[in-house]
Amino acid sequence: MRSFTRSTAEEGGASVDNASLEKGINTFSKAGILAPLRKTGTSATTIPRSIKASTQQLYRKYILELIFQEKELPPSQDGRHIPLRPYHDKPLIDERRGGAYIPNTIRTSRYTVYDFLPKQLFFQFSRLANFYFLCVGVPQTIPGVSTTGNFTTILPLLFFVLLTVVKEGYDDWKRHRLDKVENARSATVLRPKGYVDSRHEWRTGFGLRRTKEKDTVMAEVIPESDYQWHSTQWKDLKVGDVIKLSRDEDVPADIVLLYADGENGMAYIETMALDGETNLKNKQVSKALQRCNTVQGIANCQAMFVVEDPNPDLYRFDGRVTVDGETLPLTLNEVVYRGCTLRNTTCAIGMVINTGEECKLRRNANRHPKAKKPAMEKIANKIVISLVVVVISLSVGCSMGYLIWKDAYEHKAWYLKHLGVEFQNIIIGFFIQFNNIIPLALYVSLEIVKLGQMWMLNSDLEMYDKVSDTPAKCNTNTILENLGQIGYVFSDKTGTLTENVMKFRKMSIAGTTWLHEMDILKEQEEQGLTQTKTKEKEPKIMLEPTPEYDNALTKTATLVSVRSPNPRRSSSQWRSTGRPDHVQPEVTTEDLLEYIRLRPNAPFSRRAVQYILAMALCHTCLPEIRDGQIEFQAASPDELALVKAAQELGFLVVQRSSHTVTLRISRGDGTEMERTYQILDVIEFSSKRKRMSIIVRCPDDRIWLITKGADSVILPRLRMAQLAKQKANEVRKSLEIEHEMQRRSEAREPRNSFGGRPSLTIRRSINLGRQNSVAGPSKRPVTNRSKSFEVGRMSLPAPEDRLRPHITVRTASYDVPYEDAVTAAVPDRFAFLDDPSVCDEGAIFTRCFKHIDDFATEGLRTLLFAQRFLSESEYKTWKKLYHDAETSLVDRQERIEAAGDVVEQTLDLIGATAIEDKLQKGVPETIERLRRANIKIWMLTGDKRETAINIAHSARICRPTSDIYILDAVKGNLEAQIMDIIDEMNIRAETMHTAIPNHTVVVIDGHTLAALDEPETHGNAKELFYSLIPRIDSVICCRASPAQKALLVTAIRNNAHQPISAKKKSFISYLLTPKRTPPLTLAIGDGANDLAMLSAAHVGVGISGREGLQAARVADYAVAQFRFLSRLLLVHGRWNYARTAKFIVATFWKEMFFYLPTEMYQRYTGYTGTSLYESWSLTVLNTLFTSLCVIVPGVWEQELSAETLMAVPELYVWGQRDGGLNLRQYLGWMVVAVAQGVVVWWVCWGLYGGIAVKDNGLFAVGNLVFTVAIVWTNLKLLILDTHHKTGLILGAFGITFGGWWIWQIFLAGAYAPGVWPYAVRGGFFTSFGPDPAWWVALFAAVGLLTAAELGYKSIKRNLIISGLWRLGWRKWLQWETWKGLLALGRGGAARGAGPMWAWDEAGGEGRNVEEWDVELWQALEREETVRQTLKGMSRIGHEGDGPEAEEAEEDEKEKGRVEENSASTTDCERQGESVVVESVQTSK
Amino acid sequence: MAPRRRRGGPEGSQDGNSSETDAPKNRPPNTAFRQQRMRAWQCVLTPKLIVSIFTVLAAIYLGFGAYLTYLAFTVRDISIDYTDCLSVAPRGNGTKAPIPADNIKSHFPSKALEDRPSLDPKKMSTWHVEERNVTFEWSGITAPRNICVISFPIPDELPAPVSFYYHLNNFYQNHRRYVNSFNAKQLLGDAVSKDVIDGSTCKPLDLDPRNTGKIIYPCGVVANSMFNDTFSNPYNEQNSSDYVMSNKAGDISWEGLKDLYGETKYNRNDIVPPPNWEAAWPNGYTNDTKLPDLKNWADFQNWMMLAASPDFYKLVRKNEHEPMKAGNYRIEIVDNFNTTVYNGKKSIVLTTITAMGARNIWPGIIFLIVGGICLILDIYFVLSFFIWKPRKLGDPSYLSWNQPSAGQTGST
Repeated sequence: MRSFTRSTAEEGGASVDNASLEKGINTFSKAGILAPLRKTGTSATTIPRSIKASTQQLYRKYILELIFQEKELPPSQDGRHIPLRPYHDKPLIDERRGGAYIPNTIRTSRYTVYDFLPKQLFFQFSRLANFYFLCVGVPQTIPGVSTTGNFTTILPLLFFVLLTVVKEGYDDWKRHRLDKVENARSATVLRPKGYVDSRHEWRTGFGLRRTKEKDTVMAEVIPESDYQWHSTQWKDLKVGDVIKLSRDEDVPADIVLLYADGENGMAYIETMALDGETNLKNKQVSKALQRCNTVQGIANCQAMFVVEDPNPDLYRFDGRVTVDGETLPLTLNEVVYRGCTLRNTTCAIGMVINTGEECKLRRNANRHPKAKKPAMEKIANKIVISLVVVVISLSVGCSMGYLIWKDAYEHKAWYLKHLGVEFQNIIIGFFIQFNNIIPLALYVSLEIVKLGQMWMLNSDLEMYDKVSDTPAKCNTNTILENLGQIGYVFSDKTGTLTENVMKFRKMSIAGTTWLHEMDILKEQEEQGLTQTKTKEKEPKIMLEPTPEYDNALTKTATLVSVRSPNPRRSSSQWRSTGRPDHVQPEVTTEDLLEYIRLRPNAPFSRRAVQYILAMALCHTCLPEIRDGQIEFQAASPDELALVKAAQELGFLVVQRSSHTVTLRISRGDGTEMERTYQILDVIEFSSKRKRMSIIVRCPDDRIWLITKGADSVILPRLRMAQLAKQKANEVRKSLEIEHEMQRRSEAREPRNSFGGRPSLTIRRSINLGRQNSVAGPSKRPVTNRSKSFEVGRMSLPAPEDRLRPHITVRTASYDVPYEDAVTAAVPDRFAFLDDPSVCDEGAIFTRCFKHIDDFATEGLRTLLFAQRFLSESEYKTWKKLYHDAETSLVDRQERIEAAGDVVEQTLDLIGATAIEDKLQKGVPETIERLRRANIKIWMLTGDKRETAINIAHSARICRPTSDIYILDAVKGNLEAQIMDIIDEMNIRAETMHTAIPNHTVVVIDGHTLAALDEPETHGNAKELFYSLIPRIDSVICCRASPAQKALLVTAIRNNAHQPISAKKKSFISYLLTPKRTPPLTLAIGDGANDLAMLSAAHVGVGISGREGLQAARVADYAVAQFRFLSRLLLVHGRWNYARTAKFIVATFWKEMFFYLPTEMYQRYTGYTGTSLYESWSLTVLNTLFTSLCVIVPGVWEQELSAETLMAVPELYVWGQRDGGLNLRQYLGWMVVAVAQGVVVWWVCWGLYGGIAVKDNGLFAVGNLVFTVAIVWTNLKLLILDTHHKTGLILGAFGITFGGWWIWQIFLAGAYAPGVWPYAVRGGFFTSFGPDPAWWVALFAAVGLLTAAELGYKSIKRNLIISGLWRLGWRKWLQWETWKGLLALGRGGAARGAGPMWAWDEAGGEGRNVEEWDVELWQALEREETVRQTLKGMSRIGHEGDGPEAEEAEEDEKEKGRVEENSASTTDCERQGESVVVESVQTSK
Repeated sequence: MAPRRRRGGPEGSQDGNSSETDAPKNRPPNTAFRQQRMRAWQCVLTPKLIVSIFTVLAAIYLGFGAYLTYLAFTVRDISIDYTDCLSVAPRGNGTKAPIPADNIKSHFPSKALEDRPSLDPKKMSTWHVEERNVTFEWSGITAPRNICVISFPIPDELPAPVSFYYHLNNFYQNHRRYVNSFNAKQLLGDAVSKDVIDGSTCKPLDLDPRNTGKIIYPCGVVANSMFNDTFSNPYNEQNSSDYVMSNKAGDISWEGLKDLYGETKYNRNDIVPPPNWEAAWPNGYTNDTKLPDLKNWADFQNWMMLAASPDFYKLVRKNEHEPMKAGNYRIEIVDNFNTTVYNGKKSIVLTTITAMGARNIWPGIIFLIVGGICLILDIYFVLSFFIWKPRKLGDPSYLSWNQPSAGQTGST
């Protein structure tokens, strides 16, 4: 039901809404160009889709336009024309509307006071169940039709609908309030002097003085002008208003810049809320508007702006400005959107061009997200429909029965003369009687269950973040079970995966690599020793109030020097999250400093100093003194990290103007000196250049050019480019071989059913570990490096020390035994620096590229530094060229770039830096867990491609062995590119001789995504892309706008289905084959730019805990950290899925079971419709006596413990495969319901119904059946079926069971005296109550059912043991199977090797972890040892942080490799051998 | 197990973060209940549990089943179908005809039948029809009626209590409209007005069908179709005395039923009896007749207790104390009730009563079946678990980390 998805039609730009997207897809489907690998079956869905599309068109045409009056506006002829005036007396006219422009208010609420009720009623009764019950409830109120009472349906229905409506209303009211706050934020706008908002006067009249006073105070009179800066509210801004922004102020509407007080009219803005990018962007005032720097200027400047119609495209802006007849284009560079924040700029002035809902930000927001519905509801709805069919056929069948009986009997029976019932009354009566087979209580109790589940989820301490004091929060409780079926996770990067903190981590100087971990040490000290912390921190914080920067500097600088040398020199504090196995360099930058101090004149020292100097000089950061501390204002966090690292290494930038940069350099001996470098030129970074350069004049007058940039651009500009390239290629080749080797070994690993390889490297390592411990000394000496591994492991139950294998080649040269004593002038550990290769350029290149590659796979961002000294004359020549370029009016950018290119040649390599984009705690572990749970992880980010890939590496979305495919529209036809990928994947799969595809990652950017929609240039690339998706493990989407993120999520939501089997199926089998729910999508993000994505996905998860994060408010769930996602999905998701699924089937079961006897009874009433049950009992049946038995397990059941679920993520697959609720399950339960209903009926009827007993009345029999039904329902659901029987469960059973007898007593006493068809009054005491026969019947029925149920369960258990459970029926025709059942594992004993999983013989194939039966896990959980191990495994990555935990996790996972067939088969032994052999080879 | 609730107050320090002095506001309480860590009985069907459950179940159900079966077999009863009496049995004095054996069902110890073959009910029962004046007890009217006289032998003593039922077959007291076709207030004695009765659930028997405008009392189809055969006490031909069986309310109807009826407040002139009560009240409620005394009319009350099944028994007479001696008995039945039209059958049943009521072997059988299933499963499980000894379900020693595979690796 897409009742409130107001499809917003877009003018010109890309469209966000689902409707048009679906339409687009339809065109593809209709075209019938199906990709080869696209299986048949897709075409079958074409027809329904086209119906859907046309319905949508109708919907849009009639419902939206007529009822909701949402008209698409026609595009204007030539954009909007806005003249620049300080103040517009009359509001400007919107050409498209013919009226004023829309106000600057935003509305996220869904309803207004007027349309709330009609919309809600429409919405409520468009729900299938509500509509159904309305259809049943209305005729039931007609007297004489119903045999079970008149208002039993309509009253509860109205009550519950009302409840939902009220809840919706409350939610919307909250949204209204938030809107109000947003709209009432204050902005500074230019107004004529003495201007008073009319509204304020009006308000004062009503006594609201406060507002006025505040506003008038805020007004700032501008001298010598007729205008003043007037403080107003955001909602009062109009198109054409001139507004002033100060530093750190949010932009209230889309504006075009008129003035900024940065250099050259530059303003820095942060667009985080818009696209998630964190680096500052600079916007520049158009050249034409340079006169507008004062209010007077604005008044005098007769500028006319022509801008495009509002659209959601964030990355394009078309417009022009005409000043004095001169027209200049307006581009993205001059426009600032709403939602941005002004940074590093004290003041900016702009003119409003788009307001309110027409702002780009709002156009990108999914304005009217449809209420999310659980995926299971689809199945439940199907069940309901099937039950409607059942009800109808029962009614019709019984009615026919009546007709026959009437002919054969009724008209002959004198005592029934004139008692015939009209046919419509019969059929409607039956319909009403049986309609409760579809439980009205289902939807109501489900709400209750979900409330309980939500409450439990909210209170989970394991998802509570201590640091920010934030528990997990569930905003949308309707879709809790969706959490258990997620197939795709779409994650935002910044703020979600990463902390948005960059840290300088490693350097590569002269072929040596050094680890920089001063910040980590600092953090540890701060955390660890409270006393030292205060001592050390004091000078940092407690500075004199006079922020004299010199003073500050001294203290900070000494801090650095004081701390080294660090006594605790454990080398690898830090390990990369992407490759925790990677051996980190032994030496840290502290050692580097020490070496420089000891050997200041060694060639290596000189290089190192040059390196640090380059870091300190080549940037655009501005030092600022705030609170006595030096802080840097940087355009990008990377630069900040570099400058900070330089500071930590003793090169502090203390001052920077446009012409000089002053460094304070601390020497090793504690003294300091200041050096000033003159900045000659800065050739800025641009995304095209991918590098920046600075030309400085050193204190010794040399002119020094330093360039930093991506390796791909620096490499060709090196002096020895040829050599460098060759070396780079060599390195790459050797890496590829290594890569391939690794991959091949992985391919032999066992796999799980969804094609992954559970914990693959570990298996190898365990054997290696054993080899070390068992087979004597290993080849590789165990250095004391392993000590550091021990640290975190102590707390974990890992019994043996297992060393991870590493490819020793990588680190051989630095893997030097380490000794603590610092006695010699140059410690032994620096011996390698005396190696002559330090000066060998070739060797340096080789190693440097190796390092770069290592850095990249570790997820570090790399930059190369290169340098060159210029001669005076050379510089002069170039400077002229550059000056011309800078001052040119045409193609300025191009010319600057060209000029830069001229000088950035024949560079010398200084070294490489590696910057860590700090991940949030536990991210890689979480991603690993999710991956093992068969969840595909997509990273959507606004960042550029390289960055995105790096982060993907460190977050382990990319694995070291992954195949990474890059799709780029710039490179040409996408269709061909995708076809290539598919071919390559196929070839790989073939050459691997396994069915498992390698781990593949596709990288795509926003531009390419948009290009997929252009069939004319890229063919049916889109179709191909979506068919490729199920085969890809991860996708990285970079440079994606919010709308594109949402679009992508929607596209996957609608398109990513598991490939359907190609076999042609008959119609019947098509109907019978259970269709799997398409994989559900989950989006997780933190910022405003993720909102659209969050609401587009099946489940939206927001990151909470920090200020001003809208996502947490709008999302369905909010967690404080990404790592909680694993618990949210694996534990709560699975629990809630299992609970809800059980709840649903159990509810259907109990209704079917309950109504079957009364159905059976009809045969004995001549099919007249007399109800077996008394109506009052019937009314309270669902609320009092069969509610707890589904609700309590629905909230508190735990079929497997949280530890197990966390430890074995593979178990999650169960939910993805609809394991809890599918056709088979449903039919099974229904068959059971029917069988049990029949048994109950016959037992009760046979024992008590037709014989000479004390009371053979309707009530006695009916009540007997009723009692049996209630006792059995509760017994089965609460005691027999619930695994986790807590006091609550037992209490619920006690309450219901006891309550029933109280009800019996109450009813017997409270029934009005008189004759009734149901002789209730006193019956329980005098007639059937004291009759032993009644009780005997009760016990017989319950006993029979219990025995059958327990027998079934026990036999099932035996079948599981003997491996005969879930065999195909054909197997049961074979004698072998029966022999196996009888022998029951004797075969194993006979073989002398101990019993085994017999399904190896019987079933023919081993089962994977995720396919094991729940009973098996439940039995396993009872073992103390297993429980302890699972507990240990579950903790990892969740609580523990840091690499040690990581290491332990791998170990634990290894332990957790529960092997089904490892017991005795020779097959298994072979496998083990081969693995061992292979690992030995690798270690050689 | 009451969940201990506490807010994250001082207890918050229990789990390690004692350094945090200010209790976090949003911290969820660390209680077993809120953290879903409550103690639970996770019942996994272990072999021991399975076997003990089934042993217990088998023992209980087999034992009880045997007892119930025994009980059912102790019941002695005789049931004679007299549906066709008026049409088949000979009329006039002295002529008796044997009742077809098919019409008679009886359960007596076989030893008694062997000892006294002359008392075999199947062979020695006879019937004949007489016509004489009968006084209807509840109206006081005397009129000539056909009487079906049934003579039957009781081969062995029926120990007390002895019950006398009539048994109707194929009679739908549970018809949808039939079940509502009465007026409870009227039965309670209220003079329910004509307006209320007219068109009420009593329809079509709400008002006098002869259009006199009088109210039918008791109105409705149920009362109208009341079974109106009357039965005499069994007359023992040996000692020429009645075996007296009570038909008083309270004896044959259960306690409390009386409260549902009352003496009517209707004026005799405003009401007419239901059409089918013509035999007893041929001219309606005249001054010569009594008004029906519903409060004490146990047969009526029993009739109004609607039977759930179209095949039902209703108690007419009962003797709680005296045994019914062996011998030949005679019961006279005033045969008014027409069952042949709708293919129904009517029988009389004389039976002893156990705790379980009349003879019903099904409870015993069902109990034996349940017990038998349990026993079979039990034997199978005992065999499979304790004799064949398969591996455990979920045996942790098969998990990879418990596998002694180090030896293998060492050898390579």
